[in-house]
Amino acid sequence: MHATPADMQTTAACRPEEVAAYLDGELSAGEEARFEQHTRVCGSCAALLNEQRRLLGILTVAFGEQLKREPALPRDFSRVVRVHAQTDMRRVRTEKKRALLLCAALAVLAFALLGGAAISSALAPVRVVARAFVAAFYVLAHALVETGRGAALILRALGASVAHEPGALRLLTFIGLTGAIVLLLRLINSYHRTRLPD
Amino acid sequence: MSALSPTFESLAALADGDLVVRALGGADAGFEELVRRYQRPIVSYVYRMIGDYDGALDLTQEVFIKVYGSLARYRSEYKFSTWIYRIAHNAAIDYLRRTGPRTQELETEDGYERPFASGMKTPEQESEQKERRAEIEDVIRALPAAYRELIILRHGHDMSYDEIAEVTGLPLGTVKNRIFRAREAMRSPLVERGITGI
Repeated sequence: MHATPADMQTTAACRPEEVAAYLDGELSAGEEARFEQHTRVCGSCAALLNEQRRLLGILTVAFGEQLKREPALPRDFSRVVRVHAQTDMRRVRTEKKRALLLCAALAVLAFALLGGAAISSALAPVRVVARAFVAAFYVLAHALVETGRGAALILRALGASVAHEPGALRLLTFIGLTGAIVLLLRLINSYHRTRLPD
Repeated sequence: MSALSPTFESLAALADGDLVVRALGGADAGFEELVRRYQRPIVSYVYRMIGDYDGALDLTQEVFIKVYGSLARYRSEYKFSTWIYRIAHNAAIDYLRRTGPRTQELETEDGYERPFASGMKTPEQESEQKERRAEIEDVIRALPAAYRELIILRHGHDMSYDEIAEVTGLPLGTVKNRIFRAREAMRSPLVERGITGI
């Protein structure tokens, strides 16, 4: 007659569920040490351990050969499965596209049925946002124009003071001419570079 | 040798994660190799869970179709095998919920054992072994599904407790407890049938 957990005199320190894990090497080092220490002083758990060890031997031999037997499969099973999977995926994608189109069509239809009044109330938030954007753009444009005006005033004042200086006009003309010549040379150079591949 | 053979051989050397990458990149052969690699273990697992060979083949196809559709969601930090078993576990549990466990005999009337291919044995050995297998299958099938699954994964697929916990979504403590109880539940039926293993 074999002892079963129910027959055992267990204490609070007994952890019968750890017996299988211990035999399978699935306890952590600490748990394993604690379990071994416990089975040295607990006759019930020691007996249970022996019973489970014997049972595991039976299961390993009996189920090892039985449960590891693999089923025979139909010919070309993997190919058939792959084709089915791909076909199913295509079907799902097509269905998703159709569902999306249907949703879009329903949305358009709903707008059409709701009528102008409903549309205007539905578009009210959009209008508010658009108005805010226009106001922000106006402020930005105004700021840019004012900055330009300021810069023009400063340049005019600078130009007037320079024009009154003797020789300054000639110096400015010389700088302008030199700049123009340099710019022209660079343009010619870049034109030649772009034509090289031909 | 066909021109395709080297491709399949080279694919067979690749890790699961690399095959997933290839399959996601549109390579049919990558997914087919994954199917080839896991088809037998998954059919075997599902068959033992639901007890119906044809149903197991259909369900395995569904599993691979789900795998194909979810490849993009697979994260490489997890083991692919655990991931696919998890999908198979969910499919088997859904099936059992829908239909209830089947009690179909493994052997057909003409004595031909359909799901599993047999090796070369004398008729007496074959008959004795068949009888023994049927006894073991009976013991496994008589277990509640929650226990049966853990025994199949542990003894038939050599999974660690951590992997079993991941596949079934159970806490590790529950896995330890259930494996212990499942083995205890099998003790008497095995002894009654004279299966002592060693």
